[in-house]
Amino acid sequence: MSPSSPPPERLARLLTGNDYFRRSPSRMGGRGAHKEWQHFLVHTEAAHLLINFSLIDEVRATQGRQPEVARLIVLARGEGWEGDVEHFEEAEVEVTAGRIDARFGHNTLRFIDGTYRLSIALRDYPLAAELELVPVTLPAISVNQPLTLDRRLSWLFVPRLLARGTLRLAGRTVQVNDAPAYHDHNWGHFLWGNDFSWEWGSVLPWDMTTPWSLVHVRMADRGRSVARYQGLFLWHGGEPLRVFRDEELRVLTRGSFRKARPFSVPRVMALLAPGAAADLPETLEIAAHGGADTLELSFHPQDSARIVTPSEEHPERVTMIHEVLGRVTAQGRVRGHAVAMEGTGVFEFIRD
Amino acid sequence: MQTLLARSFALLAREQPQAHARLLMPLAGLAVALKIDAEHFTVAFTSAQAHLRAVDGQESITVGTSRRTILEVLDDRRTLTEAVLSNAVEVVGPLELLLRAHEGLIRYVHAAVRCAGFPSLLHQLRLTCADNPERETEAHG
Repeated sequence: MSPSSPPPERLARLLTGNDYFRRSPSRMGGRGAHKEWQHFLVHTEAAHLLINFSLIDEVRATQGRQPEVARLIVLARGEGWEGDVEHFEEAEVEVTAGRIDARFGHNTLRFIDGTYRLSIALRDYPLAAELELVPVTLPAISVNQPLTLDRRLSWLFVPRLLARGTLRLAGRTVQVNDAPAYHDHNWGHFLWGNDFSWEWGSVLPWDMTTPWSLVHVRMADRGRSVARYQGLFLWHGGEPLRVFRDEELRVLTRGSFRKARPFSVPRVMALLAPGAAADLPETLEIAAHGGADTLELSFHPQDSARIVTPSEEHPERVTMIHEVLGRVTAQGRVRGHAVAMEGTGVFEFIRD
Repeated sequence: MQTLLARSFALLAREQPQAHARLLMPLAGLAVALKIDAEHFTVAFTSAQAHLRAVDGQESITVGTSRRTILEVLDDRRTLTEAVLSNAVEVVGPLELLLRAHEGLIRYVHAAVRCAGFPSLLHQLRLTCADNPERETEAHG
């Protein structure tokens, strides 16, 4: 069965009205510590690609500098990892609050005719992409969800898009034709190093005629002894079918996934996070039960890279955002549908 | 390198004064002789500042390396440990002082990655390596 998509005009209207850049109130003299990013994952045969346009308030901004700083994070996993985190001067950045429209240097994110248009090229590494991402599922929107006891995070995500265009990686140009993709947009006021961690996973099937798409979100304290929010979102075709929340979910981790030499961006941050310790699971299992519905998901990590960012709470600590790529299986019965899928998952684990 | 290093300390003192003060804590009282490719100079630390001067033989620690090695470590193509064990970075001094110097180095990097002006300095370091490739291989090629 081929999954059906909502009408493109409806998707375009929804996304235009909800996925726009918020931008930091600090620009107008308001509250600081704002963070916001537009995040994309694309799974091609040649490589898995992560592109993230972020606007982050620098907590220790230098006198006279705008606290909101633009960063582009790009990671690609082809035969090996490539990627970087690039910073941009104020004069190189154009982002209009209320629109899905950003220019960071020569890199751009536009939303035109219901399609995300991404154009990126790293300065110092052979990685570039020109992509159109067409949403084929409705988005999910959650506002002011608990991150810490007094911090909130909002998000919008589109579980499935189709990506078209070109990817240039390590001297090779690859055509991208209707590759599965994922998008989310997060915003809120918090500091790296606050008492939180998260697991955030997107799951897409290898066979794109499979109608199932999944997103897993779990917010916990730093020690992961208390989960403050958890949800497993299941889409059937273009429509949300079921959200399992909180007490309907049991999350179990087994073993330890280790890489002898994890790939880090920015590369210099590896100096501040030496060694292989990562506290990542070898397997993550989610069991969801609610009413007559059951769903079980297993994530098996295969590779990982990490985005290492300075802690904003402590002058000599770092926060690590592990991007873990792996194989996912899911099966169950939801709203009378038999669910069965195998696919690719990218799970993000925050550790500090 | 000497000029870039002096500018980096000035930048940290200006843009990240607290981090600058913290990095000087373990380093105060130390004088480190640096040989980076053909450049030979000393960084002497007080509790208030880092001062660059000519080598006078009174340094408690000596460090020898190349700009190429520095970039390899900064770009995570080799770890600092690997660079030391392979003698691409040679460090000589009493263990207690080397531990203090290492602590100061890590604090320097923590300060640098929080400083908006550092990417420009790193870019200039790359340019100096590109301008002068024969000198890169001179010391530890």
